Amino acid sequence: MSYRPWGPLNWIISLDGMKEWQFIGVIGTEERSLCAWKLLQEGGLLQKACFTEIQDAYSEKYSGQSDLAMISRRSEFESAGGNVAEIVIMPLMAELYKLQGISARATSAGKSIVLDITCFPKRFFFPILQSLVGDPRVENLILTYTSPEGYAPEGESLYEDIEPWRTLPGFQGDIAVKATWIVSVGFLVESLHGYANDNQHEGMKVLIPFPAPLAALRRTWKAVVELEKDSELKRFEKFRVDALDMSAAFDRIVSLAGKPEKPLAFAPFGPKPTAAAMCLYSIQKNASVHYAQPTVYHPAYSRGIRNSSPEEAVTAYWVKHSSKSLYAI
Amino acid sequence: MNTNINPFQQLYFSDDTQTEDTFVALFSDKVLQTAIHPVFQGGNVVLCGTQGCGKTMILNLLRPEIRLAYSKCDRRSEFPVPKEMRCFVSAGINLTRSGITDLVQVTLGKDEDTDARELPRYFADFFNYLVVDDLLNSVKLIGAHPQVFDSLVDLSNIKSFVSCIAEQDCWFGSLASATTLPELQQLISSRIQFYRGWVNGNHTHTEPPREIRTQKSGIGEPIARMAECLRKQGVVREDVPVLIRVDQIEEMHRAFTDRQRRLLLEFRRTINRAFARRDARIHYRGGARPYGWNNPEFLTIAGSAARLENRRDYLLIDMDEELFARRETPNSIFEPFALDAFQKRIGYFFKVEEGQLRPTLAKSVFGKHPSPTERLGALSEDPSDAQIDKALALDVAADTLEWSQGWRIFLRNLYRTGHAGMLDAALATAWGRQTGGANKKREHRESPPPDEAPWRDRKWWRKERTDLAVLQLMVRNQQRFIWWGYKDICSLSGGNITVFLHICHRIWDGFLKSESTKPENERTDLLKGATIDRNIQAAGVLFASNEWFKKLPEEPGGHSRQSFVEQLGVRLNEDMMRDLRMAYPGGNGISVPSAKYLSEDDDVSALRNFIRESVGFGVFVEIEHSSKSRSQGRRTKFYFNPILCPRFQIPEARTKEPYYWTLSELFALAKKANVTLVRSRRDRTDSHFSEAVLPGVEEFFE
Repeated sequence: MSYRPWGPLNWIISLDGMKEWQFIGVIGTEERSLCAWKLLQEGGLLQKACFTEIQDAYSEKYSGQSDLAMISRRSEFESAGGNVAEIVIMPLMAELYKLQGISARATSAGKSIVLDITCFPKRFFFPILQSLVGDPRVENLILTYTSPEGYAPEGESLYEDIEPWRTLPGFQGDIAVKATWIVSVGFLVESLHGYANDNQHEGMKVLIPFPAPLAALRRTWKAVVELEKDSELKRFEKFRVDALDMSAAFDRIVSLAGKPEKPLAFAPFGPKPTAAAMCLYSIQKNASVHYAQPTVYHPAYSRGIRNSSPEEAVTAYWVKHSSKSLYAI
Repeated sequence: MNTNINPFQQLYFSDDTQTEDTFVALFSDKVLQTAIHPVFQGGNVVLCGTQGCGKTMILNLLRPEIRLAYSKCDRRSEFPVPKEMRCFVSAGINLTRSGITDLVQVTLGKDEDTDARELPRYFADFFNYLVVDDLLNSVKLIGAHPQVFDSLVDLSNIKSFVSCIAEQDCWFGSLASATTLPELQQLISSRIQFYRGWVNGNHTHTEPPREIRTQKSGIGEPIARMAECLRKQGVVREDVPVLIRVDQIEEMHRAFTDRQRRLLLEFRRTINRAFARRDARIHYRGGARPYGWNNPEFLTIAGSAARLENRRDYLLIDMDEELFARRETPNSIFEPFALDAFQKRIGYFFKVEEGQLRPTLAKSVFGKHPSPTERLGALSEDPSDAQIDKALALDVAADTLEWSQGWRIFLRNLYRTGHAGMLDAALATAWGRQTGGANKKREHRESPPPDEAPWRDRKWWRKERTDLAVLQLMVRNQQRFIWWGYKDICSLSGGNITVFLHICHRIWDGFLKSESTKPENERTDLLKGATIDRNIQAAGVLFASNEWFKKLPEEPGGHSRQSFVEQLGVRLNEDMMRDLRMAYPGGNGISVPSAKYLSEDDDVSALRNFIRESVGFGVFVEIEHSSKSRSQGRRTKFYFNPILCPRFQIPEARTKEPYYWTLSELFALAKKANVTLVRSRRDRTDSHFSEAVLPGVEEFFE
């Protein structure tokens, strides 16, 4: 097993002396969307930034607020030295080949990439991460994730108009095999419950984010309670995984696959670092990844950044170093 | 009786291979014969119906695995298809599960027009290979079980079949090298693997390799040729029909960008082309929700300006209307279906042979439905004058006239004669506020109370207003309108078996909870004729209604529908409560002029699509009807799916004309509910990407 460094961004970057990183990220309505980029920008560590603005479906309820939030975010981006003209706007439900184009854009500029998954929807960052991991031109790859101070108030839904349960683009996996479900919980409670309820014979191994930031804790346990409602408890085997510890999540997944390895199928409804671990596993094992994609997000999906401290809020993970994948199985 | 089991916990038994034995145990074979028969006869057939109405279960009967499961079943269930219709071979595709629509995720790297022209050809090819792969697997399975399928398939000639199929020109040489069945399957499997890899973004080049580009097959023809070769080489008999299932057709119409919309429509038109061939060698069996079939645009045929036509190209079985009579004709088979489904669940989960169960067990478990006066059972029989005045809304500000003392005393006395009297008093109050005709100005209450009781004697006047009177009395007494009894539960199910099972689930849950606190010797045995307490049933019904409402966001676009339902439900309840004259006792629905509702105007189309999609998801029922006034032409009325009525305290029975609304009122309600009618208003998306100069993307296209 490789040592997989993860922790504060500054420390992670300092482990290698490189100063020419290409950044892939999302400029979004959330304050945290620019946090990692700003840290790197301030440190003079970036050669190029490839930003995408992802537009969710038009919503009478939210689009006006989202547009306003975006105006202010773009202006913040410009003030921090970003070039708004280079931002690529894409629809949330963009096709796979366009998503792969995002990584192609960065890899054409350099061999060391920082992929900030903070505000990338899973249907984007899964194929992007897949491309980056598989691209021999990418020698160094770091993921970053910024924790928020909190989320939208409990009474307001974080997302709306959810698509049916489907595989993520590029992650159909081998649909012929009978796989063991690995599910991470926290968000999109209704979709997960709906699927679990309609497929009662399927057991699920549930990765529960714990410890987790206080902001997500209540949602997490609510999700667990909702998931177990109407089902036999023995269907769900629970495993606690630190919400930010992608490496531990990956190891947990590998151990759940067992020896000899059982085929796995994933449903990443929990924290992004856990989802990234699922992605890194499924890339190597052609495991299917299932998700119910919301088409509209709350304009204030999250608020602030954890402890109002960028240094504390941004967590970074080495994935590839000197062309060696640290998550190879 | 085991008080730990809830036999209704799992609503769906999908087409998962693990549930075949359960399918055998739970499928309502006898009552669904009317739906089953056309599926096993010649010609193309489309099963259309809302979610949970049983389309997939019926289509599943075509799968050989299900027939095999019947044969293995020790419950002596016989395959529920008449013997003379059992000689068929079937294969199929589930458009969602197969991932075939993910072809929209790829590009040929040139431009969108090229994609729109070429990708449907790859779609047709992928479709063909998926179906023939399944067909070969079905043939092998059937051939390996002659004891179940008799001589339906004879595998002794399989080698000559392989030679025959391999040389067919429809493959353009792609199967030419196959000499054995495994080789043939391997070639087919390789092609499928290529497509799976392609839609998964695993190929470095955007365009498929040359052999794929030059060997694309036309939609349906390879499937028909395979059927022909199977017959010609004696693998299946000449008279055996080959039935091709195409399920979840509605999934071809979920798109978020113009490109996806355009491509998916082309894919759909490609499938339509297969249906339009009316090829005697194969017959298609489609499964779709109403919004995936009823839109004329979706029925156009690739390579032609024509549209698929019911009765000419296919036979449409509208399960909601024809089988379960969700409209206003008397119910046909839903009640026996519900009884049978209930009986089968109990038999299966309590391990009791069906013959040993009481017949029509659901009727004894839920008992008789309440009469209107029984619904008022919770109201105090010794009310004060003030309580009566409040219950009859004698002093509300909205009232136009004051009640005379004579009327007050009359109504109070009537009210105090018991629950039947309360109902009479409520109806008498409404009658008192009416004038007796549109041209009359003077309200009945302006005269002293009559000696006779017209509100009692006029049968239809009374019948139409009884539910409304009960509702008003209950709500003004801070009580809820409640439902219980078998007939109420059937009525709230709205002809949808999934809703029926859902209500059963929640009532049974409540029953189990109440039983768990009792000593064992005091427990109720529902299998021996006992009835679940009416209060438990009423609570279960309300729980099920709330839960159904909360489940709305689980489906695509569900948040908007939920918000719209909330606004409409509250509005209808308020309007019914405010209807002091009971002038609109049918106010549990709304009606708009059909001519305006069917207008081609963009905004109206968007509203109509929203409503029709809601109908497809089982939220509303849409019915065309005649206007009260002939000059106003036809109208279209909408009612809630009855299961939503308890949540909003709206009687579910449709007794009279609904509220007449203008289209503007409907638009206003949609606006109030923040419903997004036109998704494409944000026009910066997509085009920006294709116009942007992105070196990485260009490289990707190279």
